[in-house]
Amino acid sequence: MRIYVCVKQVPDTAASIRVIEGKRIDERMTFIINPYDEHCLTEAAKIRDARPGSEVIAVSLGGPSARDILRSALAMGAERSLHIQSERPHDAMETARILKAAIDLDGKPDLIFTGRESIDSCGMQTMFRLGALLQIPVLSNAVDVDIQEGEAFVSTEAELGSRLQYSLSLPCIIGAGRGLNTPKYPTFPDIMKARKKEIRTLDLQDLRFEPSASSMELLELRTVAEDRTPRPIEGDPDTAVEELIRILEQEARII
Amino acid sequence: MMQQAGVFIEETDGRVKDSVLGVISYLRQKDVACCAFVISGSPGGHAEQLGAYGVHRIYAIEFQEEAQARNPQFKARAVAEAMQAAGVTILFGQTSPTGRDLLPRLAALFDAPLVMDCTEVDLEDLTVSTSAYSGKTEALYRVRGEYLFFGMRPNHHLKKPAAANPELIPFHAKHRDANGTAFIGKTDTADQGRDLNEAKVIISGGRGLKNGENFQLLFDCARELEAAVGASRVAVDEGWVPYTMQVGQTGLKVNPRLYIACGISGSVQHFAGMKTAGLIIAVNTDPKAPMVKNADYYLLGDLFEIIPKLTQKLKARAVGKKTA
Ligand SMILES: Cc1cc2nc3c(=O)[nH]c(=O)nc-3n(C[C@H](O)[C@H](O)[C@H](O)COP(=O)(O)OP(=O)(O)OC[C@H]3O[C@@H](n4cnc5c(N)ncnc54)[C@H](O)[C@@H]3O)c2cc1C
Repeated sequence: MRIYVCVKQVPDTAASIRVIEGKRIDERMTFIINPYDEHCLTEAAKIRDARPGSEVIAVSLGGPSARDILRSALAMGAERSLHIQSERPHDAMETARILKAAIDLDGKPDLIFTGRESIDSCGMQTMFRLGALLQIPVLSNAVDVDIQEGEAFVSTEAELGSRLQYSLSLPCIIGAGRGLNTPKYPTFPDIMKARKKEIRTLDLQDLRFEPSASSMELLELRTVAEDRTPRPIEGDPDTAVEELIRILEQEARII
Repeated sequence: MMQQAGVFIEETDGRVKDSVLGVISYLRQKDVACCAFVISGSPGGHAEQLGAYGVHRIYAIEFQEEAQARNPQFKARAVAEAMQAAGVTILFGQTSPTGRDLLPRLAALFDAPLVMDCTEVDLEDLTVSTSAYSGKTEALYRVRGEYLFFGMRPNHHLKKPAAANPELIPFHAKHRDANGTAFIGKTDTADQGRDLNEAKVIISGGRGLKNGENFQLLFDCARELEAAVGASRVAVDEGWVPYTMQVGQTGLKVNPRLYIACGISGSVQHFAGMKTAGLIIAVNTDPKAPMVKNADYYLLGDLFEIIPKLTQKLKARAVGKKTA
């Protein structure tokens, strides 16, 4: 089986974000692999290990930091990887086209994993667009995946924690949710081995795709002010709870 | 001419969700005529409720077989067909589990822009406000396309009645190709908690709760407040409560009027999921906790003392009101 995993570099979740020129963020910070993509890699490795002759290929679109992320992906079990070099931002329509073109150039997928969303832009749509372009089925927010002959049985998480079960014909695309597995982080030998694995570089010019007639353009990025002024609720527990109830009633107006 | 937009209707317990009515009210205030798309077992397409909020037309989508209504691919195709039949090119939905599946499928079908977690949409100059970088920044996008899709942030706009007399149009979905996707079944979870996305009040617990049984304290209090119960990632990772209760960067993004955080330190990742709450109240023993420093109110104290006391006083108050 040939399994592609789309991975994305995102700013470290604890990092503070500095906006430059009202349009970009200051990228002098630590980037991490999108947390949902770690579930993808762990699941892909598990499926591969159960099927001799299978391989996992990590794919990433981005600048130099995408290479670091691909190294992490290789350490988490991918055999090899594709780095589509680009320094400029791409909207969701274009991203899906680029990923499709890169995968087409590399080989025929049996399975493609993406995270259910990337935690920076939270577009939540790349997998569906990729599916439409490849004309293969897609499910996102998967919490259980079982690959059988020509078919994937997938459970997704829906409203109020209920679970929906589906079967998808292969090839298909699965968006990993957090309940899918516990990510298997690399050991030191994994990291050493990853250094020798291949990162194939693709240039955007080498990829062929029809541009979309639609577009999404970022006009402005603003830091959100943290403007709460904390006030204490004081007194012994009884007094404090009375005051709390007053706040619920008169300020929050929920009782 | 008056602008026209579609709204995808989500329901809970056979009623239209309040957050969806909020989106309809928002569009009405902008003088946009609303066309509702309903996929529902309930007859009548919620005409009465939708009419009370100013919806002009209702497309009640019906399937040939029940299983098709459960198939996300059929559902998306059916809404796409209904939009075309209605001449609607702009569709609003919600950033909810339903919207997260349906809207990107539709956007992919039409190769159209989609922005999720929107707070404001300007249909004149086609700009949209949304959050980026886990709520640390706000982004303004311009969208272009023959079709446009927006997933609104739940509860950002509140519902306001505006009576209309909607035309009800039954619509039979024709599309027959499931595109390799088959629905097998549904398992409901044992917990019948409230929907965190819809909740106006949320009370959440973290490591400070110490174990899963203690969450009962929050559930008891939540009953009095008509609140939903949320949790930090630690409480989920410890196995105390299910993942569906996790609030934060890698959990749910919630937008209640009131968020009470009990025994939660207030990490950046937790804030990413609740920083837009109207009012934040922290109950914590540590005056230096970030939750305390970034709340509107903080109560320094032991949650095991404070929360049961709160529940008890709320109960007494409710009884007092009834007899009064
Ligand atoms: C990539 C990534 C994604 C993450 N995503 C999320 C996410 O989505 N959601 C999330 O919540 N976290 C997330 N985290 C984890 C986050 O960094 C914190 O570890 C977590 O939020 C801490 O949980 P906590 O506040 O319950 O525990 P702690 O930080 O241990 O805080 C416990 C608090 O309880 C207080 N306390 C203890 N006893 C009492 C008592 N008796 N009465 C009152 N107060 C008491 C303490 O003073 C303390 O402030 C993520 C982390 C990473 C790296």
